[in-house]
Amino acid sequence: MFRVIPVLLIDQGRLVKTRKFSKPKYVGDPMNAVRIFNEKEVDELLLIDITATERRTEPRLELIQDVGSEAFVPFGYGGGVRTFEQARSVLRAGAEKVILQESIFTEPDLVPRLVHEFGSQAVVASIDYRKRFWGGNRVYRHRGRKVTAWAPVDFAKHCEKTGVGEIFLTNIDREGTREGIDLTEARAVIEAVNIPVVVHGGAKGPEDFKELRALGASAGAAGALFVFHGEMDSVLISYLDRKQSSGIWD
Amino acid sequence: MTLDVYLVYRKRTVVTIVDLGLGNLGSVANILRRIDASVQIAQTSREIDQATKLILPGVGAFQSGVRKIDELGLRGALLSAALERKIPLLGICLGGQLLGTQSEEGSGEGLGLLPMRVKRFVVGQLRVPHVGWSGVEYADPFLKGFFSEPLPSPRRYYFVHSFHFSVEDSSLIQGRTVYGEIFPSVLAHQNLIAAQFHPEKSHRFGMEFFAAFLKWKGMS
Repeated sequence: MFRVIPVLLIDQGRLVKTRKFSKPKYVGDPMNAVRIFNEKEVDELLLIDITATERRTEPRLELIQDVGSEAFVPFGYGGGVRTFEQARSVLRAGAEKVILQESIFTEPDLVPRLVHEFGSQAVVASIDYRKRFWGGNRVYRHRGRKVTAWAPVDFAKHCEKTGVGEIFLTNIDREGTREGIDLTEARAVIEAVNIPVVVHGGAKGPEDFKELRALGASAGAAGALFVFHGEMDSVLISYLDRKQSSGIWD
Repeated sequence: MTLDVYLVYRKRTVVTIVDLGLGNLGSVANILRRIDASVQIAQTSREIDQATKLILPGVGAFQSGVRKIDELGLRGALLSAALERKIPLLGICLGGQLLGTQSEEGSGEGLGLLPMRVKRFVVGQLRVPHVGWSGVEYADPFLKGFFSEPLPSPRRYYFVHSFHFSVEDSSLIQGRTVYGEIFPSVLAHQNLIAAQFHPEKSHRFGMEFFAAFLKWKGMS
């Protein structure tokens, strides 16, 4: 069954929302959002600590434990996870999956070791990409600040080879904009791999998830759509109405 | 008054979760507390020996689970609880797989409490791992015996796995799920249940499942 997944961005313990990976806006306490999403029985949650790699901070185990206590829905956690021990502690604290990005570049042994110990279903590769000035999409590191030579499709295949069980694909240019999903690149990545792909960046409504499902995405993820309301970006935690969203879950 | 007497007086069901050091013990404990169970954690044989109901959770690869059981020296106590004392024992996801004999995922001998092997999904039309919410179709006798009231609608639970149960004796199969192929998602025999999904992550469906387990007296 297709999944619709709210994404929560954490900056030093606070819930924030960025736009094209910049201008973080304070949204509130992550646990309030988690509680509301739990009440709405969301399919899954993704929590990303967006400054952990840059600041070299540890995974927020207490937050993960709190989420596990409050929310009886599955969730993945990522941000700054660089070592086997950190990944293990994330899973032990209650996350279903650990989400990696930077360490896929810097610690090539980490994914295989984690997969061997925990199984591929516990390890997700997070791929951020944007269009380069002269065209063509490229994968970026460090919250969109450092370009790589990889095209998203090639990097997705590389991640699949390392053994990850799922790809979390984010279009940086559309993130936070609610201007629509980049279906072209989504389709290319989905068709390039045999593992589930979660598509993120720009979702503006139920139609986007219907389209993603039709493309063969395993899930659609959204931040702004579920955290803001209206043109003024007022904070409102929401989800899709399961009864009204035919074509997504049925 | 001892704790046990007090808990019986309070009529809260006591359930013991086995801690293999692999994954989300806290989530299982918390959802059980939410449905008013009294939760004990067992890390030693002695604590398993004192249990009256056991849950074996697990997130991880089969060989890691086997290794942990043996490193912690829990095999004897688990077998004794299951076969001699015959207390209700629920294995969840990896925990369920560990009730079987062997797995294609890796080496090591499971507990062998169920004549079940663990096989990988055949990569066909659908992607592996199987991640997401899927329905379980329960066998009628189990439905009546496990859930005390009829279920109003199909049940769905969160699955996240690349390997699944496989049995030759179909009488063990109490729940089936379709993912490309039809695979057994719930097995039960006498006092043992194995569930492939994660009830602790399946919100109200999971709470319902755990509540049923707390009252369950075994297969009749």
